[in-house]
Amino acid sequence: MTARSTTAGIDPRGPRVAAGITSVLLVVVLLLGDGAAGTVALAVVAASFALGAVRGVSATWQAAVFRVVVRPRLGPPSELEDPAPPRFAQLVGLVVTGAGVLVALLGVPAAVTVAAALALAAAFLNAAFGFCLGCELYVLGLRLRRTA
Amino acid sequence: MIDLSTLPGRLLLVAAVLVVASAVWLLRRRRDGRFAQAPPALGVPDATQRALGSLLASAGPTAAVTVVQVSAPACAPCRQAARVWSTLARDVAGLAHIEVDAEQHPGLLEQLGVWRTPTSFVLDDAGRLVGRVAGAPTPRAARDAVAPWIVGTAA
Repeated sequence: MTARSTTAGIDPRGPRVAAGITSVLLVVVLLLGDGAAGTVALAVVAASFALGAVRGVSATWQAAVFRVVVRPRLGPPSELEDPAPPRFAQLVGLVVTGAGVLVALLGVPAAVTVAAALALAAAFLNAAFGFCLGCELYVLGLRLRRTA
Repeated sequence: MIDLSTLPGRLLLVAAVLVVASAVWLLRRRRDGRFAQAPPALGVPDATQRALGSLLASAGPTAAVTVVQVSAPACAPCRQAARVWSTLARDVAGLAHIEVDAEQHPGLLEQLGVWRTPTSFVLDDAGRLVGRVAGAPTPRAARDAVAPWIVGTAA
């Protein structure tokens, strides 16, 4: 009864490896701090999320790293995954990191740290445990949209 | 407090984020996929029972046990839960599995008190709610959840 996406499945290890790369970048953002360097690094992460949200999770450069560097060293995946949930999570990541960059540019530098910390928590959960926090927010959004 | 103007302070912040995220995940995992019995008959809200009743009515004849799984389009664990329940429904006579898309049933999440997907509702042969499972159950947890209401498989 549920509408299913008909596009071909993706290797579920792809988004996890990508989330790992994103986690490392976000740690770099946090270590760089609220200055210009940190803001630029966060903007790079936000741009990557934008790519994933618009063109799908397989179109990001992190996914390309997975395909070229990691995938050849692994066996075939035991199952394929619907690309819709991780793509939605990319959108959540874009909103969080994009808002961080924007608010920082508007004169609140601490926004870089706040946004990077939130995004790191989500990306780390995805990479380490395969738990997609962004995907969970979808249902929350469905409910809040109606009560609002 | 952590001093974010120093490198050690920022390293500490990174560590704190990772620890908090892991702790939240561990707490959450303990409840995930577990069967939670419904409160005694009077405790189930009317709206919940009505919503489940109309979903059940639209699905045809009532089985001994029906699992109504609430899913969302962007939800990987929902696919996993659907696989587990539908496999079980094939193996166990008297068990039916219905999956509904929350997006196509406005108000359903509120009526059922669902904050996350998948959430699966276990209904008996009279359509009464006997319990719910939040998250994707393991095949074994799924079997245990319905066993008491299936004649012949009760543990």
